[in-house]
Amino acid sequence: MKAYKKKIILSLPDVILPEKLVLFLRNPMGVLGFTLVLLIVISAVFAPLFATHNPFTMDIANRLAGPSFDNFLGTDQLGRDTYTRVLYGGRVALQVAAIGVSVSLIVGLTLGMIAGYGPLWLDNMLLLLFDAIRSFPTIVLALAAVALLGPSLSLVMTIVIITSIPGYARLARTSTLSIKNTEFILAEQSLGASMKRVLAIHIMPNVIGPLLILAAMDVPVVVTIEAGLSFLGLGVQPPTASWGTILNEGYLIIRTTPWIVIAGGIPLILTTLGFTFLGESLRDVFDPRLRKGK
Amino acid sequence: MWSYLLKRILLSVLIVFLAILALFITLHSIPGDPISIALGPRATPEIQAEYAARMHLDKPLYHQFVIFIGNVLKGDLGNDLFSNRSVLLILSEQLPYTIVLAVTAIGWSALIGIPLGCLSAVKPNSLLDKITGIVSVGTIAIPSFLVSIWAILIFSVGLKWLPVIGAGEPGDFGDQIYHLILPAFAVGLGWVGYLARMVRASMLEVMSENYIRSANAFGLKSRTIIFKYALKVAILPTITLIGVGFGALLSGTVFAEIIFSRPGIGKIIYNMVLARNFPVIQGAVLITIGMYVIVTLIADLAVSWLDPRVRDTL
Amino acid sequence: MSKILQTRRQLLQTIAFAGIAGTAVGKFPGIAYAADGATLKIQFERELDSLDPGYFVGGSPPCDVNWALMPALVHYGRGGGWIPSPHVESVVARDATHIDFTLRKGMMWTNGFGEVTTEDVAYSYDREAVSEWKGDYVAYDHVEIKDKYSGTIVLNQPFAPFMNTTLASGTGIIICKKAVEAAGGKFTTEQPASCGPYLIAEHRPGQVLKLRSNPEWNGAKPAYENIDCLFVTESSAAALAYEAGELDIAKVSADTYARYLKEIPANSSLTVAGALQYMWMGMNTDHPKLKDIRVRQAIQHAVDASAVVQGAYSGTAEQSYGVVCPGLTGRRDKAGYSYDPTKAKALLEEAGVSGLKLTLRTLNNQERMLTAQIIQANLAAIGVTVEIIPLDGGPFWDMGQEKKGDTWKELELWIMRYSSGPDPYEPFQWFVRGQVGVWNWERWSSDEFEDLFAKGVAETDTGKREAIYTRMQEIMDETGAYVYLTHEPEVFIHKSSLSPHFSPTAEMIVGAFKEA
Repeated sequence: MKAYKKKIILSLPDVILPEKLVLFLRNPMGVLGFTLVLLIVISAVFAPLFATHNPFTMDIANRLAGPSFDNFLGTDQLGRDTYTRVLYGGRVALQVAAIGVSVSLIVGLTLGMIAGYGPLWLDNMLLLLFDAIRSFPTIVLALAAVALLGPSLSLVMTIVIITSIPGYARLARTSTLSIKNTEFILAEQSLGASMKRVLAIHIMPNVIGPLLILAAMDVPVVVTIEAGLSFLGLGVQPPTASWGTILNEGYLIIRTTPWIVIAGGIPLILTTLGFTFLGESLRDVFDPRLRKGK
Repeated sequence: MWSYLLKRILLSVLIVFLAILALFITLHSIPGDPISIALGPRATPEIQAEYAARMHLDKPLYHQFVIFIGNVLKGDLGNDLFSNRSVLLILSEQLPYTIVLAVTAIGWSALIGIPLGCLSAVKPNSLLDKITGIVSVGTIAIPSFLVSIWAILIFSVGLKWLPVIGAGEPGDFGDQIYHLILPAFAVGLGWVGYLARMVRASMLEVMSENYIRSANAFGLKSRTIIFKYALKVAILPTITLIGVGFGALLSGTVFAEIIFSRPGIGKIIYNMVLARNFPVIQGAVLITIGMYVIVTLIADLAVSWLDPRVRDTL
Repeated sequence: MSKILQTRRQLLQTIAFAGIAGTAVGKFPGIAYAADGATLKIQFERELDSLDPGYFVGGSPPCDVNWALMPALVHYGRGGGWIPSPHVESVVARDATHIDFTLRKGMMWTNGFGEVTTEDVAYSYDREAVSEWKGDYVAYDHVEIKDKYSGTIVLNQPFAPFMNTTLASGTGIIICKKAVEAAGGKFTTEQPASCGPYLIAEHRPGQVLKLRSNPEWNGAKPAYENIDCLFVTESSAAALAYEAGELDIAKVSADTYARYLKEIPANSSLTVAGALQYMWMGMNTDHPKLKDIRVRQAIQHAVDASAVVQGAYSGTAEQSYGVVCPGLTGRRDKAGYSYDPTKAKALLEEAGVSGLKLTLRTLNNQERMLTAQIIQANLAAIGVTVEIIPLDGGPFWDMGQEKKGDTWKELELWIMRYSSGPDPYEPFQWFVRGQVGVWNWERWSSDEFEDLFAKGVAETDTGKREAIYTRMQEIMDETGAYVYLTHEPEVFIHKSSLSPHFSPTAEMIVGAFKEA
């Protein structure tokens, strides 16, 4: 029985399997993606270590300076160091991404498994709900919500979470459906295991793999939403530095100095590239079936 | 086919209904006076009284909802708080600009993305294929609003080739095209990558299928095969992708309209959010949801018409 | 956006009743004939919500476009003060409460509504006096109709600024009685009838308002056959558009102004309009968090206004030390407090306040947002946390007014800018007792201040006036409710071939633009 079970569960333990790791390392895109992600995460987490200035300290005499040895990426209108602010901006982006993606993954996973495993009527109802949520275009929803409730970082995160849940839920549902009727689940059921137990112990480990990959590929979407809303002045509020607010400040004075929009844009691109490469390589290595769908 | 059509349309109607319900619940669940929430902080007492009468706020909630739905179905989305013009009229003036921008963006990216995908698929793992692969991911990775900003920096500020604001003179077709170039470029760039990848993947799949292989065996020229058979099949995922990605496309147009001061639904929503002109925001949200549902519906129906196998999945 | 209200305010503050004693006969300055087909492209900073003079939203429409479209008795002249409009033969102030006027004959309303008559004038002013803008008409009693073309405006009390603050402003517009009544008594952007040098040829909301010269107009031909007013709200976009040749005139932000001062685009000129502005940060003296004057004084000492001048205004504005603008009697060169963070900290400690969190409301434009961030950083340095709340024009101008909702109770800090005319008495009128909850959002009052205000208006000796206004500013300092920031110019960039014209509130008067 034990041996049989092991054969079917092919998710988490596989991640550590050496042949998969080798496969991953052979993929230059994957390695590049991983490196970029590592670089961004480290630079954000240890921002105070790498920063050359305080992100909020103004030096008005030295405003709108170009790149120099002292200010690697120049300074903004208030003489704040752009390089330092970009580093700290990474913290906001990753914070939104980490919280947004993990909460929507957990909720999506739970709802998706319930939809896949539960009765048909529940499945249909949840599916309809997912489709309805997906029919709200994120940015329009966000604009309307900001109008009602005022701009804030937590509002941005809430919107990110609500709109990304259906993606995870649908994927989890499909995976659950595909293993719902396998023999070992049926065996568990006949032994009288509760639904909670079946879902948590037997189904979850099997469906979470693809979801994690989807999560990696979802990070760029979330980071872009945050930056976009902050760019419009509807997300992160001053003086907090976010790539979006840096871009907004730079856009206003684009004729005076191009450095700020360049500096705010590059980390955004590196982040999206890094997570996309990483996610896609992981997918190719661990779950080639997904390739078709996405 | 008919039962699929019926099912799909019913689903769309249900989704629209749910979306309206969600909007209604949101407006009524925020603490405070529902009139000021629905109309925003700047409505005059006159407008508030008129709204209260129109929405029958004295009636029970479910009754109000029925009236709300009825008004939406009649196309009565209320009036602009300040100019008192009909919201539907205001939005219908803006909508064409958004549609033109979205269609142009998709159009040019399809013209580039589909051939790129085809060529990559014909010679998989060639240099061209690899370059296409990298370009695809690269273009997908740059957020469209960043493309807009950098495009302004390069083409308007730096090179001074292209205009920055507006949609051009109506009636002056050339001028409109001229004003459309940069925004359409910004919105469509990411789609080049999406489409190239999607087309490549489905072409590879199709080309490995039997009838293509037998066509090959019959000695048909590979070019004929690609264009006559394979491409036809490659269209399917493209349509699906447009259906699925319409939300993203819309987000792209919102940013492009704001950054290029271009009229359109996105620009008007943004302006109205700033001015706290709530009736217009509500109307615009409903219109975009409606648009989304219609586009996905058309995409799904088109796919199922082209590829009968899909019908069984619903 | 910031000007919506200033239009209203400043009109109440402009040059007092210039020329009322003299006879101003209708000699409209000769205007060059339009080069046929010439189109001028100008920037509209905000949407055109309504053209109805009784029911404007927030203030006159952008660029006071009604002056190009509609009759009025008087206009703002290029030299400052009012001039008779092209619609009148004469406007004469007979005495302090009577203004005689004679309309020109044969001025035809569009849409076949006949001639502009005295009855239209009476109808317009009577309607204004009960409209949302009745504030301008407190002194108005009625119009005596003498005949079809002439009549007399009768005031119920002497009101010196009536010409400039009422008749020459956006609320002095004359509308067509028959047409407006036929349209149901109110209108928004679709005029029932107009009569001016221009017509609205097309209005595409959010994009453009196209004016073309009115073929039925029998006054002097305007200088431009067509004027396209493009709605461009972002100042950075407007500057880009100007440089790309898509606009002939645009308002420039401080950083762009600084750039243009160094290097101006070819064939362009800069015009500074309405330089008499004073910006300050206000504090609500009634708010529990700010009730202790030591807390307010701590904030006064913590803000570095010179940093605002440099950081937010690129050095293009002057630092402010009071509400009297540079060049006017009573302008000070230092305030009753100075930038001293150490003292600020000590004051906070004395008040026993720590961990103070305040909100700072501001208009959402580039300069104000930068100003707010500088203040935020300054206050952070003394341990006060500031949350910036950016607002758009509409909600911003309503927030301190008791009539317009409950926000005034929550107001803590805000950045405000008013405009002033050339007389130093004008700014003070907004801070008297009667203005508490109207425009005195700081919500304080002082008997000495009331006294001095009355004395200052009556005083003619410059030395004595200087003493009065200096003392009044000291009283304002002592309330602890003011941190004076800047005197900021309104700057426009335009083609050198254009000679623009502005109202005292720095609104473009498009109808009077001409070739240089």
